[in-house]
Amino acid sequence: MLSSEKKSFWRFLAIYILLVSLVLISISIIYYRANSDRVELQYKSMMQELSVLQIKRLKWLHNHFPKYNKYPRDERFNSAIYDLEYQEIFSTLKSKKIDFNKSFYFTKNYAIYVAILSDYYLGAKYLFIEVPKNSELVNRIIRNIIIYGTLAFLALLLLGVYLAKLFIRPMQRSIELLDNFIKDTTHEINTPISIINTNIEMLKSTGSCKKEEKKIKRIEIASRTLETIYKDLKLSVLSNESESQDELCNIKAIVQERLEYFRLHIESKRIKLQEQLEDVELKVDRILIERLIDNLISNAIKYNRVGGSIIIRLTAEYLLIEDSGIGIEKSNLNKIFERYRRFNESEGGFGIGLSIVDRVAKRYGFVVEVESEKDKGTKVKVVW
Amino acid sequence: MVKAFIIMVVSFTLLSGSNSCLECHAKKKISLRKTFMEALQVYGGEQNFKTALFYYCKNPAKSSSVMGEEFIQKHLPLKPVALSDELLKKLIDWYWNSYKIEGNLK
Repeated sequence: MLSSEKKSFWRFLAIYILLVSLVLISISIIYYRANSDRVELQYKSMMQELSVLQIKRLKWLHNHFPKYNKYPRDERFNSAIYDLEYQEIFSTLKSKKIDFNKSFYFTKNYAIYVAILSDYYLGAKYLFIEVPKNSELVNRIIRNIIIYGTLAFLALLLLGVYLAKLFIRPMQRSIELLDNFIKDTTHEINTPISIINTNIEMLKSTGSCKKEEKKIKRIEIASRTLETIYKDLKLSVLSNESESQDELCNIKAIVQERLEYFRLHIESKRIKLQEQLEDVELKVDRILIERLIDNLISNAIKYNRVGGSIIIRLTAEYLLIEDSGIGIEKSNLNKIFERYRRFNESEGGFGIGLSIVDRVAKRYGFVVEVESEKDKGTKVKVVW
Repeated sequence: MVKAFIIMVVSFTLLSGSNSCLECHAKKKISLRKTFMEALQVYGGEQNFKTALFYYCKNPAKSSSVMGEEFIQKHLPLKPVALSDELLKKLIDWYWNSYKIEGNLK
Protein backbone atom coordinates (compact mmCIF):
# COMPACT_ATOMS: atom_id res chain seq x y z
CA MET A 1 0.00 0.00 0.00
CA LEU A 2 1.42 3.42 -0.98
CA SER A 3 1.68 6.15 1.66
CA SER A 4 -1.14 8.14 0.01
CA GLU A 5 -3.31 5.02 0.02
CA LYS A 6 -2.42 4.39 3.66
CA LYS A 7 -3.29 7.97 4.52
CA SER A 8 -6.68 7.72 2.79
CA PHE A 9 -7.32 4.36 4.46
CA TRP A 10 -6.55 5.64 7.97
CA ARG A 11 -8.38 8.93 7.42
CA PHE A 12 -11.52 7.11 6.30
CA LEU A 13 -11.21 4.68 9.22
CA ALA A 14 -10.65 7.50 11.73
CA ILE A 15 -13.75 9.39 10.55
CA TYR A 16 -15.75 6.16 10.52
CA ILE A 17 -14.61 5.23 14.06
CA LEU A 18 -15.40 8.71 15.30
CA LEU A 19 -18.93 8.56 13.87
CA VAL A 20 -19.50 5.01 15.09
CA SER A 21 -18.26 6.00 18.57
CA LEU A 22 -20.60 8.99 18.65
CA VAL A 23 -23.56 6.83 17.62
CA LEU A 24 -22.69 4.11 20.17
CA ILE A 25 -22.19 6.67 22.95
CA SER A 26 -25.56 8.27 22.11
CA ILE A 27 -27.29 4.86 22.11
CA SER A 28 -25.58 3.98 25.42
CA ILE A 29 -26.76 7.23 27.01
CA ILE A 30 -30.32 6.67 25.80
CA TYR A 31 -30.24 3.05 27.03
CA TYR A 32 -28.77 4.12 30.40
CA ARG A 33 -31.36 6.87 30.87
CA ALA A 34 -34.29 4.64 29.91
CA ASN A 35 -33.17 1.96 32.36
CA SER A 36 -32.32 4.47 35.08
CA ASP A 37 -35.83 5.91 34.75
CA ARG A 38 -37.24 2.41 35.09
CA VAL A 39 -35.17 1.76 38.22
CA GLU A 40 -36.13 5.17 39.62
CA LEU A 41 -39.79 4.42 39.03
CA GLN A 42 -39.47 1.11 40.88
CA TYR A 43 -37.84 2.86 43.83
CA LYS A 44 -40.40 5.66 43.82
CA SER A 45 -43.35 3.30 43.79
CA MET A 46 -41.93 1.21 46.63
CA MET A 47 -40.93 4.23 48.73
CA GLN A 48 -44.27 5.95 48.23
CA GLU A 49 -45.95 2.95 49.85
CA LEU A 50 -43.50 3.18 52.75
CA SER A 51 -44.20 6.90 53.13
CA VAL A 52 -47.97 6.27 53.35
CA LEU A 53 -47.31 3.76 56.10
CA GLN A 54 -45.00 6.16 57.95
CA ILE A 55 -47.53 9.02 57.71
CA LYS A 56 -50.16 6.76 59.34
CA ARG A 57 -47.73 6.07 62.17
CA LEU A 58 -46.96 9.80 62.55
CA LYS A 59 -50.68 10.54 62.72
CA TRP A 60 -51.14 7.98 65.48
CA LEU A 61 -48.17 9.39 67.40
CA HIS A 62 -49.47 12.95 66.96
CA ASN A 63 -52.77 11.94 68.52
CA HIS A 64 -51.12 10.10 71.42
CA PHE A 65 -48.23 12.49 72.13
CA PRO A 66 -46.74 12.88 74.76
CA LYS A 67 -48.11 9.65 76.29
CA TYR A 68 -46.21 7.87 73.53
CA ASN A 69 -43.14 9.66 72.32
CA LYS A 70 -41.13 7.00 70.54
CA TYR A 71 -40.52 7.99 66.91
CA PRO A 72 -41.77 5.20 64.58
CA ARG A 73 -38.92 3.16 63.13
CA ASP A 74 -38.86 0.42 60.48
CA GLU A 75 -36.01 -1.89 59.63
CA ARG A 76 -36.74 -1.49 55.90
CA PHE A 77 -36.03 2.24 55.84
CA ASN A 78 -34.78 5.30 57.72
CA SER A 79 -36.83 8.47 57.88
CA ALA A 80 -36.85 12.07 59.00
CA ILE A 81 -39.44 14.76 59.55
CA TYR A 82 -38.92 18.49 58.91
CA ASP A 83 -41.28 21.37 59.53
CA LEU A 84 -42.32 23.90 56.88
CA GLU A 85 -39.45 26.13 57.96
CA TYR A 86 -37.02 23.32 57.05
CA GLN A 87 -36.16 22.68 60.70
CA GLU A 88 -35.45 19.09 61.61
CA ILE A 89 -37.95 17.62 64.09
CA PHE A 90 -36.52 14.13 64.19
CA SER A 91 -34.26 12.07 61.95
CA THR A 92 -32.86 8.57 61.63
CA LEU A 93 -31.36 9.29 58.18
CA LYS A 94 -27.84 8.16 57.35
CA SER A 95 -27.45 10.60 54.45
CA LYS A 96 -26.30 14.09 55.20
CA LYS A 97 -27.54 15.50 51.90
CA ILE A 98 -31.06 16.86 52.34
CA ASP A 99 -32.82 18.35 49.33
CA PHE A 100 -36.26 19.88 49.77
CA ASN A 101 -36.62 20.74 46.06
CA LYS A 102 -36.75 17.18 44.76
CA SER A 103 -39.35 14.52 45.33
CA PHE A 104 -36.80 11.76 44.74
CA TYR A 105 -33.04 11.58 44.54
CA PHE A 106 -30.03 9.36 45.00
CA THR A 107 -27.09 9.93 47.29
CA LYS A 108 -23.93 7.82 47.11
CA ASN A 109 -25.44 4.88 49.01
CA TYR A 110 -29.13 5.68 49.41
CA ALA A 111 -32.30 6.45 47.51
CA ILE A 112 -34.36 9.20 49.13
CA TYR A 113 -38.07 9.90 48.66
CA VAL A 114 -39.58 13.15 49.90
CA ALA A 115 -43.28 13.16 50.80
CA ILE A 116 -45.14 16.37 51.60
CA LEU A 117 -47.74 16.08 54.34
CA SER A 118 -51.04 17.92 53.98
CA ASP A 119 -51.69 17.68 57.75
CA TYR A 120 -48.60 18.61 59.72
CA TYR A 121 -48.55 15.68 62.15
CA LEU A 122 -46.06 16.46 64.91
CA GLY A 123 -45.53 19.73 63.06
CA ALA A 124 -43.93 17.93 60.11
CA LYS A 125 -44.41 19.07 56.54
CA TYR A 126 -41.64 17.04 54.90
CA LEU A 127 -41.16 13.33 55.39
CA PHE A 128 -37.91 11.83 54.07
CA ILE A 129 -37.80 8.09 53.43
CA GLU A 130 -34.34 6.63 52.92
CA VAL A 131 -33.55 3.13 51.65
CA PRO A 132 -30.12 1.65 50.79
CA LYS A 133 -29.37 1.91 47.10
CA ASN A 134 -29.26 -1.38 45.23
CA SER A 135 -26.16 -0.72 43.12
CA GLU A 136 -26.54 -4.12 41.44
CA LEU A 137 -29.33 -2.70 39.26
CA VAL A 138 -27.18 0.20 38.03
CA ASN A 139 -24.11 -2.02 37.71
CA ARG A 140 -26.09 -4.41 35.52
CA ILE A 141 -27.04 -1.54 33.18
CA ILE A 142 -23.40 -0.38 32.97
CA ARG A 143 -22.19 -3.96 32.45
CA ASN A 144 -24.68 -4.41 29.59
CA ILE A 145 -23.52 -1.15 28.00
CA ILE A 146 -19.85 -2.18 28.22
CA ILE A 147 -20.35 -5.74 26.92
CA TYR A 148 -22.82 -4.99 24.11
CA GLY A 149 -21.15 -1.67 23.31
CA THR A 150 -17.75 -3.35 22.89
CA LEU A 151 -19.21 -6.15 20.76
CA ALA A 152 -21.05 -3.65 18.55
CA PHE A 153 -17.92 -1.50 18.29
CA LEU A 154 -15.77 -4.46 17.23
CA ALA A 155 -18.34 -5.60 14.66
CA LEU A 156 -18.64 -2.08 13.27
CA LEU A 157 -14.84 -1.73 13.29
CA LEU A 158 -14.52 -4.84 11.09
CA LEU A 159 -17.18 -3.40 8.81
CA GLY A 160 -15.24 -0.13 8.80
CA VAL A 161 -12.00 -1.86 7.72
CA TYR A 162 -13.92 -3.59 4.92
CA LEU A 163 -15.50 -0.28 3.84
CA ALA A 164 -12.14 1.54 4.04
CA LYS A 165 -10.65 -1.09 1.73
CA LEU A 166 -13.56 -0.66 -0.66
CA PHE A 167 -13.04 3.11 -0.45
CA ILE A 168 -9.38 2.99 -1.52
CA ARG A 169 -9.81 0.20 -4.10
CA PRO A 170 -10.31 2.62 -7.07
CA MET A 171 -7.14 4.44 -6.06
CA GLN A 172 -5.24 1.15 -5.79
CA ARG A 173 -6.52 0.09 -9.23
CA SER A 174 -5.30 3.35 -10.81
CA ILE A 175 -1.85 2.94 -9.27
CA GLU A 176 -1.76 -0.72 -10.31
CA LEU A 177 -2.64 0.26 -13.88
CA LEU A 178 0.07 2.95 -13.87
CA ASP A 179 2.62 0.47 -12.48
CA ASN A 180 1.73 -2.12 -15.10
CA PHE A 181 1.94 0.47 -17.88
CA ILE A 182 5.36 1.66 -16.69
CA LYS A 183 6.55 -1.92 -16.29
CA ASP A 184 5.55 -2.77 -19.85
CA THR A 185 7.00 0.48 -21.24
CA THR A 186 10.27 0.04 -19.33
CA HIS A 187 10.83 -3.35 -20.95
CA GLU A 188 10.39 -1.80 -24.37
CA ILE A 189 12.64 1.32 -24.10
CA ASN A 190 15.86 -0.37 -22.97
CA THR A 191 16.93 -1.58 -26.41
CA PRO A 192 16.30 1.72 -28.30
CA ILE A 193 18.27 3.68 -25.63
CA SER A 194 21.21 1.27 -25.92
CA ILE A 195 21.18 1.60 -29.73
CA ILE A 196 21.10 5.44 -29.56
CA ASN A 197 23.97 5.53 -27.02
CA THR A 198 26.13 3.07 -29.01
CA ASN A 199 25.65 5.04 -32.23
CA ILE A 200 26.45 8.37 -30.53
CA GLU A 201 29.68 6.86 -29.19
CA MET A 202 30.48 5.53 -32.69
CA LEU A 203 29.85 8.93 -34.29
CA LYS A 204 32.03 10.64 -31.65
CA SER A 205 34.90 8.13 -32.03
CA THR A 206 35.01 8.17 -35.83
CA GLY A 207 34.79 11.97 -35.88
CA SER A 208 32.79 11.77 -39.09
CA CYS A 209 30.28 14.39 -38.02
CA LYS A 210 32.48 17.22 -36.79
CA LYS A 211 30.12 19.78 -38.31
CA GLU A 212 27.13 18.33 -36.49
CA GLU A 213 28.89 18.10 -33.11
CA LYS A 214 26.36 20.45 -31.41
CA LYS A 215 23.40 18.42 -32.65
CA ILE A 216 25.04 15.16 -31.55
CA LYS A 217 25.60 16.69 -28.08
CA ARG A 218 21.91 17.52 -27.84
CA ILE A 219 21.02 13.99 -28.86
CA GLU A 220 23.43 12.66 -26.22
CA ILE A 221 21.85 14.86 -23.48
CA ALA A 222 18.39 13.71 -24.49
CA SER A 223 19.53 10.11 -24.55
CA ARG A 224 21.09 10.35 -21.09
CA THR A 225 17.95 11.96 -19.71
CA LEU A 226 16.01 9.08 -21.18
CA GLU A 227 18.49 6.60 -19.70
CA THR A 228 18.12 8.17 -16.22
CA ILE A 229 14.35 7.94 -16.47
CA TYR A 230 14.66 4.35 -17.59
CA LYS A 231 16.89 3.46 -14.65
CA ASP A 232 14.54 5.14 -12.16
CA LEU A 233 11.54 3.40 -13.63
CA LYS A 234 13.34 0.08 -13.60
CA LEU A 235 14.29 0.54 -9.96
CA SER A 236 10.90 1.85 -8.99
CA VAL A 237 8.77 -0.77 -10.70
CA LEU A 238 10.97 -3.80 -11.18
CA SER A 239 13.23 -3.60 -8.11
CA ASN A 240 11.04 -5.99 -6.14
CA GLU A 241 11.88 -8.68 -8.63
CA SER A 242 15.65 -8.65 -7.99
CA GLU A 243 17.73 -8.84 -4.81
CA SER A 244 20.20 -6.00 -4.11
CA GLN A 245 23.86 -6.78 -3.48
CA ASP A 246 25.72 -4.68 -0.90
CA GLU A 247 29.44 -4.10 -1.39
CA LEU A 248 32.02 -1.57 -0.19
CA CYS A 249 31.63 1.42 -2.54
CA ASN A 250 33.76 4.51 -2.94
CA ILE A 251 31.11 7.23 -2.76
CA LYS A 252 33.47 10.00 -3.89
CA ALA A 253 34.24 8.05 -7.09
CA ILE A 254 30.55 7.44 -7.70
CA VAL A 255 29.67 11.13 -7.18
CA GLN A 256 32.44 12.17 -9.58
CA GLU A 257 31.32 9.57 -12.12
CA ARG A 258 27.71 10.72 -11.89
CA LEU A 259 28.76 14.39 -12.23
CA GLU A 260 30.69 13.42 -15.34
CA TYR A 261 27.59 11.63 -16.59
CA PHE A 262 25.55 14.83 -16.14
CA ARG A 263 28.37 17.07 -17.39
CA LEU A 264 26.58 17.89 -20.65
CA HIS A 265 23.38 18.80 -18.77
CA ILE A 266 25.31 21.07 -16.42
CA GLU A 267 27.15 22.74 -19.28
CA SER A 268 24.00 23.19 -21.31
CA LYS A 269 22.45 25.22 -18.47
CA ARG A 270 25.74 27.03 -17.73
CA ILE A 271 25.54 25.97 -14.08
CA LYS A 272 28.53 26.69 -11.84
CA LEU A 273 29.50 23.55 -9.99
CA GLN A 274 31.30 23.61 -6.66
CA GLU A 275 32.63 20.28 -5.42
CA GLN A 276 33.99 19.58 -1.93
CA LEU A 277 34.43 15.84 -1.89
CA GLU A 278 36.11 13.76 0.80
CA ASP A 279 36.94 10.06 0.45
CA VAL A 280 34.01 8.11 1.84
CA GLU A 281 33.37 4.37 1.66
CA LEU A 282 30.00 2.81 2.42
CA LYS A 283 28.72 -0.77 2.22
CA VAL A 284 25.76 -0.33 -0.11
CA ASP A 285 24.29 -1.62 -3.35
CA ARG A 286 26.06 0.30 -6.09
CA ILE A 287 22.97 0.58 -8.30
CA LEU A 288 20.86 1.89 -5.42
CA ILE A 289 23.36 4.52 -4.28
CA GLU A 290 23.83 5.59 -7.90
CA ARG A 291 20.08 6.11 -8.21
CA LEU A 292 20.04 8.13 -4.98
CA ILE A 293 22.90 10.39 -6.10
CA ASP A 294 21.63 10.60 -9.71
CA ASN A 295 18.21 11.76 -8.62
CA LEU A 296 19.56 14.43 -6.30
CA ILE A 297 21.97 15.77 -8.93
CA SER A 298 19.36 15.47 -11.69
CA ASN A 299 16.83 17.48 -9.61
CA ALA A 300 19.47 20.10 -8.77
CA ILE A 301 20.10 20.55 -12.51
CA LYS A 302 16.51 20.20 -13.71
CA TYR A 303 15.00 22.73 -11.33
CA ASN A 304 17.96 25.17 -11.48
CA ARG A 305 18.08 28.49 -13.27
CA VAL A 306 20.24 29.00 -16.37
CA GLY A 307 23.54 30.28 -15.00
CA GLY A 308 22.71 29.06 -11.49
CA SER A 309 24.93 27.13 -9.11
CA ILE A 310 25.20 23.74 -7.47
CA ILE A 311 27.27 22.97 -4.38
CA ILE A 312 28.09 19.32 -3.71
CA ARG A 313 29.73 18.45 -0.41
CA LEU A 314 30.64 14.91 0.56
CA THR A 315 31.94 14.12 4.05
CA ALA A 316 32.13 11.02 6.24
CA GLU A 317 28.88 12.22 7.87
CA TYR A 318 26.77 13.36 4.96
CA LEU A 319 26.25 14.23 1.31
CA LEU A 320 24.91 17.74 0.67
CA ILE A 321 23.55 18.96 -2.66
CA GLU A 322 22.52 22.59 -2.75
CA ASP A 323 21.06 24.37 -5.77
CA SER A 324 19.98 27.90 -6.59
CA GLY A 325 16.80 26.81 -8.36
CA ILE A 326 13.08 27.39 -8.11
CA GLY A 327 12.70 25.85 -4.65
CA ILE A 328 9.68 24.13 -3.13
CA GLU A 329 6.83 25.71 -1.16
CA LYS A 330 7.01 24.91 2.56
CA SER A 331 3.50 23.41 2.55
CA ASN A 332 4.66 20.82 -0.01
CA LEU A 333 7.87 19.78 1.74
CA ASN A 334 6.22 16.91 3.62
CA LYS A 335 4.82 15.45 0.38
CA ILE A 336 7.94 15.47 -1.82
CA PHE A 337 8.81 11.83 -1.15
CA GLU A 338 5.41 10.52 -2.29
CA ARG A 339 5.47 8.40 -5.39
CA TYR A 340 4.05 10.03 -8.57
CA ARG A 341 3.98 13.38 -6.71
CA ARG A 342 5.14 16.35 -8.82
CA PHE A 343 5.11 20.02 -7.93
CA ASN A 344 6.37 21.48 -11.18
CA GLU A 345 4.76 20.52 -14.46
CA SER A 346 7.23 22.55 -16.56
CA GLU A 347 9.88 19.85 -16.22
CA GLY A 348 9.46 16.29 -17.43
CA GLY A 349 9.42 13.21 -15.22
CA PHE A 350 7.11 10.81 -13.45
CA GLY A 351 7.48 12.09 -9.91
CA ILE A 352 9.34 9.02 -8.74
CA GLY A 353 12.88 10.43 -8.23
CA LEU A 354 12.58 11.50 -4.61
CA SER A 355 10.48 8.48 -3.73
CA ILE A 356 13.48 6.40 -4.86
CA VAL A 357 15.82 8.58 -2.76
CA ASP A 358 13.53 8.03 0.23
CA ARG A 359 13.36 4.27 -0.37
CA VAL A 360 17.13 3.88 -0.64
CA ALA A 361 17.70 6.11 2.40
CA LYS A 362 15.21 4.12 4.48
CA ARG A 363 16.82 0.87 3.38
CA TYR A 364 20.24 1.93 4.74
CA GLY A 365 18.98 4.05 7.64
CA PHE A 366 20.11 7.33 6.08
CA VAL A 367 18.30 10.52 7.12
CA VAL A 368 17.26 12.88 4.33
CA GLU A 369 16.91 16.51 5.42
CA VAL A 370 15.39 18.99 2.96
CA GLU A 371 15.47 22.75 3.31
CA SER A 372 13.96 24.86 0.58
CA GLU A 373 12.87 28.38 -0.10
CA LYS A 374 10.63 29.31 -3.01
CA ASP A 375 12.60 30.99 -5.83
CA LYS A 376 15.86 30.75 -3.87
CA GLY A 377 16.87 27.12 -3.98
CA THR A 378 16.85 23.76 -2.27
CA LYS A 379 19.31 22.08 0.06
CA VAL A 380 19.17 18.27 0.38
CA LYS A 381 21.34 16.60 2.98
CA VAL A 382 21.67 12.83 3.21
CA VAL A 383 23.13 11.94 6.61
CA TRP A 384 24.76 8.51 6.47
CA MET B 1 -31.34 36.08 85.44
CA VAL B 2 -33.41 37.04 82.36
CA LYS B 3 -34.82 33.53 82.16
CA ALA B 4 -35.85 33.63 85.79
CA PHE B 5 -37.54 36.97 85.21
CA ILE B 6 -39.48 35.67 82.19
CA ILE B 7 -40.63 32.58 84.13
CA MET B 8 -41.74 34.82 86.98
CA VAL B 9 -43.66 37.18 84.66
CA VAL B 10 -45.26 34.30 82.73
CA SER B 11 -46.26 32.45 85.89
CA PHE B 12 -47.74 35.60 87.37
CA THR B 13 -49.66 36.36 84.19
CA LEU B 14 -50.84 32.81 83.67
CA LEU B 15 -51.99 32.34 87.21
CA SER B 16 -53.57 35.72 88.00
CA GLY B 17 -55.82 38.44 86.55
CA SER B 18 -58.83 38.34 84.28
CA ASN B 19 -56.69 37.77 81.22
CA SER B 20 -54.86 34.79 82.72
CA CYS B 21 -54.52 32.02 80.09
CA LEU B 22 -54.17 29.11 82.45
CA GLU B 23 -57.09 30.20 84.62
CA CYS B 24 -59.43 30.43 81.67
CA HIS B 25 -58.20 27.15 80.13
CA ALA B 26 -58.61 25.44 83.49
CA LYS B 27 -62.02 26.93 84.06
CA LYS B 28 -63.27 25.89 80.64
CA LYS B 29 -61.45 22.57 80.85
CA ILE B 30 -59.55 23.21 77.66
CA SER B 31 -56.31 21.23 77.50
CA LEU B 32 -53.32 23.38 76.52
CA ARG B 33 -51.72 20.24 74.99
CA LYS B 34 -54.79 19.52 72.88
CA THR B 35 -54.98 23.08 71.49
CA PHE B 36 -51.23 23.04 70.89
CA MET B 37 -51.39 19.79 68.89
CA GLU B 38 -54.39 21.02 66.89
CA ALA B 39 -52.62 24.28 66.04
CA LEU B 40 -49.36 22.49 65.31
CA GLN B 41 -51.11 20.16 62.83
CA VAL B 42 -52.34 23.22 60.94
CA TYR B 43 -49.48 25.69 61.28
CA GLY B 44 -46.42 23.38 61.35
CA GLY B 45 -43.25 25.43 61.86
CA GLU B 46 -42.41 27.48 64.94
CA GLN B 47 -42.59 30.96 63.43
CA ASN B 48 -45.77 30.16 61.53
CA PHE B 49 -47.32 28.75 64.67
CA LYS B 50 -46.38 31.73 66.81
CA THR B 51 -47.51 34.31 64.25
CA ALA B 52 -50.86 32.58 63.74
CA LEU B 53 -51.48 32.20 67.48
CA PHE B 54 -50.59 35.84 68.16
CA TYR B 55 -53.04 36.97 65.51
CA TYR B 56 -55.74 34.63 66.84
CA CYS B 57 -55.28 35.85 70.42
CA LYS B 58 -55.69 39.41 69.26
CA ASN B 59 -58.53 38.63 66.82
CA PRO B 60 -60.34 35.48 67.95
CA ALA B 61 -62.91 34.39 65.39
CA LYS B 62 -64.75 31.29 64.36
CA SER B 63 -63.29 31.48 60.90
CA SER B 64 -59.68 31.54 62.09
CA SER B 65 -60.01 28.90 64.80
CA VAL B 66 -58.25 25.58 64.28
CA MET B 67 -60.52 23.79 66.74
CA GLY B 68 -63.45 21.60 65.73
CA GLU B 69 -67.06 22.78 65.27
CA GLU B 70 -68.17 21.35 68.62
CA PHE B 71 -65.38 23.18 70.45
CA ILE B 72 -66.19 26.43 68.75
CA GLN B 73 -69.91 26.15 69.59
CA LYS B 74 -69.02 25.46 73.18
CA HIS B 75 -66.37 28.12 73.84
CA LEU B 76 -66.84 31.00 71.41
CA PRO B 77 -67.10 33.96 71.34
CA LEU B 78 -63.76 34.62 72.95
CA LYS B 79 -62.59 38.04 73.95
CA PRO B 80 -59.40 39.44 72.46
CA VAL B 81 -56.44 39.06 74.80
CA ALA B 82 -55.77 42.37 76.50
CA LEU B 83 -52.07 41.78 77.19
CA SER B 84 -49.42 43.92 75.63
CA ASP B 85 -47.91 42.59 72.39
CA GLU B 86 -44.58 42.06 74.04
CA LEU B 87 -45.99 40.08 76.93
CA LEU B 88 -48.25 38.06 74.66
CA LYS B 89 -45.27 37.15 72.50
CA LYS B 90 -43.36 36.02 75.57
CA LEU B 91 -46.32 33.91 76.66
CA ILE B 92 -46.56 32.32 73.22
CA ASP B 93 -42.82 31.59 73.34
CA TRP B 94 -43.32 29.91 76.68
CA TYR B 95 -46.25 27.94 75.27
CA TRP B 96 -44.16 26.74 72.29
CA ASN B 97 -41.15 25.81 74.39
CA SER B 98 -43.27 23.91 76.88
CA TYR B 99 -45.19 21.82 74.37
CA LYS B 100 -42.97 21.60 71.29
CA ILE B 101 -42.12 18.25 69.70
CA GLU B 102 -38.44 18.83 68.86
CA GLY B 103 -36.26 17.27 71.52
CA ASN B 104 -39.16 15.32 73.02
CA LEU B 105 -39.18 12.38 70.65
CA LYS B 106 -37.09 9.30 71.32
